[in-house]
Formats: sequence, C-alpha cells, structure tokens
Amino acid sequence: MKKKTSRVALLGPPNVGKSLLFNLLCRQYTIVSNYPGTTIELSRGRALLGKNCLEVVDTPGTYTLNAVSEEEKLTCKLLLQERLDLIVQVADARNLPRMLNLTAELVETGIPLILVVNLMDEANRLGIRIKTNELSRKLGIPVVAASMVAGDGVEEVKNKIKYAVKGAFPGSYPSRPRYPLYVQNYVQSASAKVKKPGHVAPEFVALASLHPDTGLSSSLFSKDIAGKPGKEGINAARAHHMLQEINMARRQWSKKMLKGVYLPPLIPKTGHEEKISQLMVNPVSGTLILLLVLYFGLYQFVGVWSAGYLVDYLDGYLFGELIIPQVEKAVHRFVPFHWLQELFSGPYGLITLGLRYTFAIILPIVFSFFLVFSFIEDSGYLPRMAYLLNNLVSKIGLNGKAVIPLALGLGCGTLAVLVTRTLETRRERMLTALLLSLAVPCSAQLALIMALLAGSGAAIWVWLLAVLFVFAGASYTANRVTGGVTPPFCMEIPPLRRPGISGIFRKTAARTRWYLVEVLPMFLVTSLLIWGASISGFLSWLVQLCHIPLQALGLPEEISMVLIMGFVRRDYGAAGLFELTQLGILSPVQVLITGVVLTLFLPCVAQLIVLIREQGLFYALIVIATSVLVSWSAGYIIYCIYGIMYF
Amino acid sequence: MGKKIEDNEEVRLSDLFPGEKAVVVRLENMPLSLFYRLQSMGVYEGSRVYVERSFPEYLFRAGYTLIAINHIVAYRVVVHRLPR
Repeated sequence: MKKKTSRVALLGPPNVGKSLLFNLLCRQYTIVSNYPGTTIELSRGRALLGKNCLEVVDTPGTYTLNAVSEEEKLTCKLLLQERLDLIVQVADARNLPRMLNLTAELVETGIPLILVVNLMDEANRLGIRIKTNELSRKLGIPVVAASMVAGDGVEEVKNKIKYAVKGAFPGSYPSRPRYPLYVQNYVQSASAKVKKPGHVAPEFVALASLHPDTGLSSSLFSKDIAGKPGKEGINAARAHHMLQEINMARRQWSKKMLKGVYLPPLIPKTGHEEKISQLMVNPVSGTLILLLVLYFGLYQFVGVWSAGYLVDYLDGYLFGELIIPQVEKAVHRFVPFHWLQELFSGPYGLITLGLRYTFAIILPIVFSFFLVFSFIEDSGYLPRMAYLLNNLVSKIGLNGKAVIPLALGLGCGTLAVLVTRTLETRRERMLTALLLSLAVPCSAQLALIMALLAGSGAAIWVWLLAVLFVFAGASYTANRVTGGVTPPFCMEIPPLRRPGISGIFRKTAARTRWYLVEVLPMFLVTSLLIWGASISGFLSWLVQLCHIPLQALGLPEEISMVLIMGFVRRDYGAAGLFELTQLGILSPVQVLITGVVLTLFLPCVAQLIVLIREQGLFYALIVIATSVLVSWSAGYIIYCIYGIMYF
Repeated sequence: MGKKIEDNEEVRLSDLFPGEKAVVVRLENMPLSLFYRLQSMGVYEGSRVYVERSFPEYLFRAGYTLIAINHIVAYRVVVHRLPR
C-alpha cells in the first residue's frame, strides 16, 4: 500500500524566514528577501526527513487570519481547503509578543502546531532573552529557537517536524485563550452548524465567520468546505465588538504565556544599522542615496557596463566574429535547401536571432539587473524607499507599497504585475498594473535604450522626460477617473540587514533561470514564426501594414519588425532596435522616436497573459488600447517638435 | 499641574513630534482591514509607541516593530502623550 504523504504548511508574518526554512527543508530555492511580500503564491516542495516524505507548502506572509490582502487570503484558503498534518509557525524572536496572536489563532484550527522562534541572533544583539523551553511548556506545543540564516536550530526544527508528523506529540493539549462567556456561547452554537468533517476545527470556522469584509467568510462557508453556520442573527457592529473582545483575550493570553519567558533589556540597544536606516529615511540624505543607487546601480552598472561593454563583447565579438560565422559555414555545408538554411542562420534564424538575442544581448543585462536588485532587496532598502516616496506617489492615487512592484518592473514587468497582489485595494492593483504596462520599461529594454541614447547628447533626457511625462499623465488621469482618493499607507519596515554574497548570487541565479525558462522558448518560437511568415510572404504584408502609422513618425519600414518583436517580448524588440542602430540604418532622431514608442508600446505577451489573469480581459484590452494610442502620440509629438526645430 | 493635564490629554498620533512617546487609546474611523493590520503590528489600546519621524510620513515604533504610516492613518490613532 502506498504510504500517505504528510502535508506541512509554513506560516507566519511576512519577512520572518518562512521561505528560507522551505529552502532548507526541500533543498530547492524560492526567492527570499528583506521586505514584506516576497512570497506571493503558495510554493510547494518535497522534503525527505528520515523515512518520511513530506509535502511542504510555503505561504505568503500572514499577520493574522483575518485575511486582509490577497496573499493573506491564499494562506487562509490553504488552511480551509486542504488537509494539513502539521503547521510550522515561523515567528520573529524580537517581536514575539505580537507573534503569539497568530499562534492563538492557529491553535484554534486543531491542527498540530510547532512554533519556530527565528531571528534569535538579531534578538540576542538587541539584548532580548527568550526561554524557549519554558515557553514550550506553557504553550503546550513544541518550540524551537533558531537563527536560520546562520543554520542554527535547523536540525532541531527538522527533528521536531519528523516526530510531529509521526504523531509523537499526541498528548499535548495546547493552551488556548479564554473568551468572554457570550463569545463562547456564540462559538458553541455556530460551530454546531459547521458541516463535518472539515479540515479545521468547527470552533475555528465559527470564529472566522465573524470577519465579514475580508473575503474569508465567503471561502469558509462555501458548501464544499464547511457549510454555512449562519451569523446567529448578529449584525456587523456586534461581530466587530466580539472580535475586539476576542483580540483582547488573545493579547492577554499572549502576555500570560510570555511572562518570565520573553525578557527584553531595560534600555534597548541600537547598532550602526540603525544609523544607516535613519539616513535612508531622511528626505535629504534619503533622496541622495536613492539618486546614487539609480545612477550607479542602474545607469552605470546595468546601462553602461552591462548593456554597453559586456553586450558589445558578447554580441560583437563572441557571437559576431566567432560563433555565427562558424554556424553559417556549418549550415551551408550540411543543410540542403536555402529556405531551410534560413531557419538556422538567416536574418530571423533560430541561432542568428533566437539564441544570439537571448544569450548575447538580453541575458547579461537581465543578470546584472537582478544582481543589483537582489542586493537592494536583501538589505531592506526597498521598504525605506517606499516610505520616502509615499508622499510623492500618493499624489497619483497610489501608496508607498506600490513603489516595490514598480521598481521590480524595471527588472521584469511580468513578475511585477504578479507582485501587485501585495497591494490591498483592487484600484491600486489596477493602477499599478497600468503603469507597469505603459511606462515602466523592463531591464533589457531600459539598458539597451540607455546605451543607444547615452552618446547622443540630449536624446536620453528627451526620452526620460517623455516616459516620465506619460507616467505622470497616465497615473494622474487614471487616479481622477477612479475617484482620486489618497489611500491609507501602513507598512512594516524591516530591520536593515547586511546582504550575504551567496544569498545574492543564489537569488540572481534563480531569477535568471526563471527568466531564461520563460524567455528562451518564446524567442525560439518567435524566430520560427517570423521565419515562417517571412517564407510565406505574410511578414512583408504585416510589415507594410504596420508601416502605415509609422510613416507619420518618419520611421523606416524596418522599425515595423522591431515593434512586432517588441510585442512578443519587450526586450526582444529592444534587441532588434539595438541591431538596427549598430547597422547604421537609423538616424539619431529615429533611434530616439523608436526608443520612446517601444518603451510605451504594448506590454509583452507574457505580461499581457498575467495581466488578463490578474485583472481580467476587459481591463487588459483597455491597457492595450491606451498603450498603442499613447506610444504613437508620444512618438508623433517628438517628431513634430523635431520638425519645427530643424526645418 | 498644567503639565499633568496636558500629558493625559487625548491627542492624535499626527500631533506628536519626533522623539515623543505615547500610549494608544483607540483606533478610530478606519477600514476594518487597516484596523486589524495595525493591531497585528502591535498598535492597539494600551500599546506604547515612539515617534521617530513625522516627515515625509510618520515613522514610529511599537515594541521592536518599525511602522510607516501616512497622515490619514496617523490622524486616526488616538493616543495619550507620555512625558519625554
């Protein structure tokens, strides 16, 4: 008989080390960072602990089971819809008092629970002492002290999980908060109506039913989960009052559990990280730091060094002089027909276009961007940047949290649209997704355009102004259309941490691998399609069709091809523009106009698919129409201004 | 005497200056999601807060948690100012 696989969920607030534990258990890599919202989907992996094969589920950060954001709802759905054999709650040692509120909620699910008190090294540095054995005794569940970055406590966590899934702690009766009598009566009568057997204790379902506006209750009481217990005739105000009593009881319980166990120092200690953090959030020094990060990290490292020198070497020398001539020779020798030879080494060939664009042009830029971004992420700078820019982005109806997906969009728009899930309202998610699709160029596109325009004096400033103008104009208009409200901003700022070199490279490698897996097949299929269209004559018809609106911008026919490729992948189009410029086909003003049009043009296919998935087809169609209209208009305005100035 | 009355006066978090400490009295007129979010970050009736910055937005500590909020949220956190 096949042995049952135990399912273990890792739960806890954002940024406490759940994904790190997941990586250590499953020996596979999911992205870990130093800001809330790194994990936006459930990640599943297999772990082998002794003879036990476990399915481990890493969840997005959850402060509470009163699901507030989209990714918190995912965690709640997991609890309610899947059979879990064990929950491992990962907690931040420094903030243990508030971590135990989630413990109180999790205990009520009736699922066996282990508490991992992580970040003990940081707590020790601050002078906080925690008696974990005593805490375990009081809570009635296994508690492990860990500092997972240093590898401390990881073996003990594994052992505890191993024993827990074997049912080694059957006699443990976790301590629970005691609620007022009228709450207990409500829970008793409501839980009696919960359909059995459910995946969680009916009492938990009854308590969760008190959250009316969070979307949790609707998922709780759909027929296939638990059955509706009804609201017992209580109105929203009474439910809210009950929740207050419940939360207060949980806090009192947490206080009782930590008495004599969690011992903070009388005078809090501060380190030099604190001083750097102060500089980052100060408007003057913070702005200066931001400009330095953008100039050195983005412009110099990604734009000038990577898209300039590195791409020149890889594309011009390695592929241009060594690989491609050899490939052409081999193809002409071994492949019989001219049309078939074109498939491999023609202008749109699999090797001359697909592989070369991927490895010689896009890959070095994307890799260097992800390297810089990983460093920024792991240091904890992004949330401070969000704090600093909140006032500015609130003018366009967003809050500081939107700065994180927008910054990530400078790496890959597809990934960034997914990260908009961390924003709390649909309006903010839609607005950010629009800006990502319209006016935030991806890393390869940005770096190549910067490299092309850097030498042409004012051109780079015109391009920057055009993109910023569209960004501001689009966000202002969208904000007005959707009501023009300034959303509340509330964000936890994690401590600054020194990024580890191995962590940065592992993350960069994981992201680059993800990127290649997505990009390479698409590039090869595109090459194949363009080759097919070229052979059949469809391509020349399409190019002529696209050329009609481009003529008004004074652009040659070749640019049609760049835009067609740009729709498939933004970076692919930028690589096409890069090649045309290298061949000397375009004048400087044509490079500028194409750069602007391409930046503001359609989101690539992958981003469009994610956009449809996240915001629906109708909204994606609005984004498409806006992009086409805005990009063409911006190009036309620049063309007219140029015409007025020089003729 | 006057000082004591001032200390016990209910004020908004947005009225506090950097370096001031306060005890939270209540969170008022805010969406439930924000209310629970703040509570889960350690901002609830009776918790102590310490204001680090008030510009460009409010930055304060609740325990060892550093929290950034804007003026809209800070105005809705009613506190008792504590002596420095």
